[in-house]
Amino acid sequence: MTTPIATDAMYRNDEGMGIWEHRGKVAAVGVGHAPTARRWDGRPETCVGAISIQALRQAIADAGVAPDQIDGLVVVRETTTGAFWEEGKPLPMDVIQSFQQTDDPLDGIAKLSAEWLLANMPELSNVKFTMYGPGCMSNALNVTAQAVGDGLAHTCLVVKSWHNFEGRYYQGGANAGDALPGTPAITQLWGGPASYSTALQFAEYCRKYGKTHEMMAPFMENSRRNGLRFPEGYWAQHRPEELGPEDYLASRWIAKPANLFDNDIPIMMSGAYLFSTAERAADMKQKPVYILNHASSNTRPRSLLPTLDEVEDDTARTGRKIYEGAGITADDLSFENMYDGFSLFHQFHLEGLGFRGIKFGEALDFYATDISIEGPNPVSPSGGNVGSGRSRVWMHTDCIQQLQGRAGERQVTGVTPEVAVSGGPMPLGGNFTVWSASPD
Amino acid sequence: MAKQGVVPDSLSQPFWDAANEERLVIQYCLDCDQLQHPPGDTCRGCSKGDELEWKTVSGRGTIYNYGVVHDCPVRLLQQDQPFNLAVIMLEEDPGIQMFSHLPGVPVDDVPVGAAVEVIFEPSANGQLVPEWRVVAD
Amino acid sequence: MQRDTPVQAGGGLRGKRGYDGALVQEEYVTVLISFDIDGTLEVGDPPGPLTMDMVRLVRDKGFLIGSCSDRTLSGQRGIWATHEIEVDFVVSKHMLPDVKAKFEADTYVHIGDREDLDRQYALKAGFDFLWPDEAVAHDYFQPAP
Repeated sequence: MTTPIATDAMYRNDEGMGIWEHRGKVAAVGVGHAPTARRWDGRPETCVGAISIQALRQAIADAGVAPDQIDGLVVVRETTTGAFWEEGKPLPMDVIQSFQQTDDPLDGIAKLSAEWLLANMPELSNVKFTMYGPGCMSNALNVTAQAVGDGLAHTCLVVKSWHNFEGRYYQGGANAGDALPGTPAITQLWGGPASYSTALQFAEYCRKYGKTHEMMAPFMENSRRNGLRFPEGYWAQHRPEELGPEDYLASRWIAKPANLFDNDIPIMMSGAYLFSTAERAADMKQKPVYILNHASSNTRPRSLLPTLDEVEDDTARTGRKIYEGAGITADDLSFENMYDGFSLFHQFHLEGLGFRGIKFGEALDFYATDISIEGPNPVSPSGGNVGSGRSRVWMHTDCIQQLQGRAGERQVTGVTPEVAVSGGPMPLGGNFTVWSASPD
Repeated sequence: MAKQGVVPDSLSQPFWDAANEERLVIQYCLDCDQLQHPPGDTCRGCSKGDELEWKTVSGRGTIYNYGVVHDCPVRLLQQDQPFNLAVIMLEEDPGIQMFSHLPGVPVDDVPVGAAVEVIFEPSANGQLVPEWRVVAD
Repeated sequence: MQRDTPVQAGGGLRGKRGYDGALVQEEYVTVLISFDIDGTLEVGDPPGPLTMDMVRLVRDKGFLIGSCSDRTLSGQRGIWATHEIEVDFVVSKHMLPDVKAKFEADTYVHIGDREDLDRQYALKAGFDFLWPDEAVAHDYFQPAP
């Protein structure tokens, strides 16, 4: 069985598609997370494949499903945080020999195939459907929801994992060389770091609306506060450090106006969920969380970087797609869990949604109001990547757990958790899921 | 600033050849009557590849936006940190952007909106690379 | 915890020699040491070779000490408080020039494990630089005779 990459047919990219045909008929039930680490320590039991298995088994157990009842598996094949296995570096044979290996010796170490997982999880004996959702959990969730809705699988696992090796990310490979091939050179010769594009969008935003970087501090503090209540997260597990305004604003610049904490910390992690049909989910161990819609943006910028106009046009369009397919309005959202890694674009997602009626240019003022989990307008109750490290997964786990009423210390108390939205990554080019405590 | 060298590939060869002649060329779709940058094998508007050619542009533009890079992933540029990294809009089509280190402009003192003109600077292997300098009033 | 003012600014005696090389007098030398945390101190992530006892040793010698790290300021203060070591400063990675401006010393040293974020920042700020393994073997961290 060769696993295909999801085609365009699995996504809802356009406006005017109406209510999602499977609205309320697909549900998330089980959640699984492996312990996080700053970097891989080289042991077989902590490689990206091993932690993926750990997360998947936890999701299965959490849902209370027998493994042989599972017939689908959606995987994000890419696992790098920006750390790559250097060319010529000896392969870790002890790790490779600890698993059933595919043809690719770095499978399970620096990437993850569905075939590797199935070979090393013999209990998944009835998986008939596998598919790749590229890049992020947000993408893979859309694929999983659509696959279950379309009947390609009735009980489907989905997993996203990250590996992080020694060294500073993105500083190896071509960036360490003396020359670049001509086509990538046109965009890469000038040395912008990963957050540069977002930093520029934020700079333009501040100029247009008269805002400042300092106005991000309440959002950052709130996100870390929420993250420290996320026991699955990196900061809660390893370095329970708050991120107050002094901490945030004293940090060094990476690409001004993006500072160190506007960039999420790369970590080893794995997160997995079990999805099923609404009918089957009703009999599982956890309360089902129903999918009302999934929506995507595949918009590309006209030239090198998205302009603020392009960002605002697209986030507004994404907001309309999200609401249209779910049959809801912004007023129905109990809270929002849009992506934040880089923190400086969270406001674009928020404004595109029109969360609590905010318009373009208003989000940073909104951050100065009560955005806590105890208040009436919870912003990023998961804490996102700011709160728990780079995963692009926390926001989805939080939506599920909040709507199941088992978010623990993070449980929102200022609103009744009924409908939520999560997704990302970028304002241009992302995938979004609408979650509901009820199928209706 | 000493940029990495450039080894032109088939797609980018005309761009870099023109740069060595101190000309700025941008890919252009005859069918859509649109410039596109960065270049591609096909037009992002109409998906056709056989309607693409290279068009010489004036080399004039304005500074659209900028950031200051303090932590650069490119080893050769790290010795010059912090440095300006601006985005230039071309005069012919403001939707077309090019990067610039804005030689001569003090760090974090970038005149957004100012007029600029293209210059060409040698990279590590001698390939000329388009850069931009502020035009005096 | 952070000292409001240096308890005793100092570091040790340095010989001053005349034109013929003969020792003519000794003068008091003030040494300031800035510690990176991760990869440098034993409490870092990853742990480094410098123990907290070594830090206490130089503090007790009267050195000006503090940390300069990508960790949050509150996180750095928390580490020192946990280990009951009074420091003179906690700063972010790019703030060594501020440390130099604030504290008068004869020698400024930064100890860290990164070429770009420690060594280059330190040299640019006018600090001497030691890798953690070099520092462990340095006279600073040997008990006074």
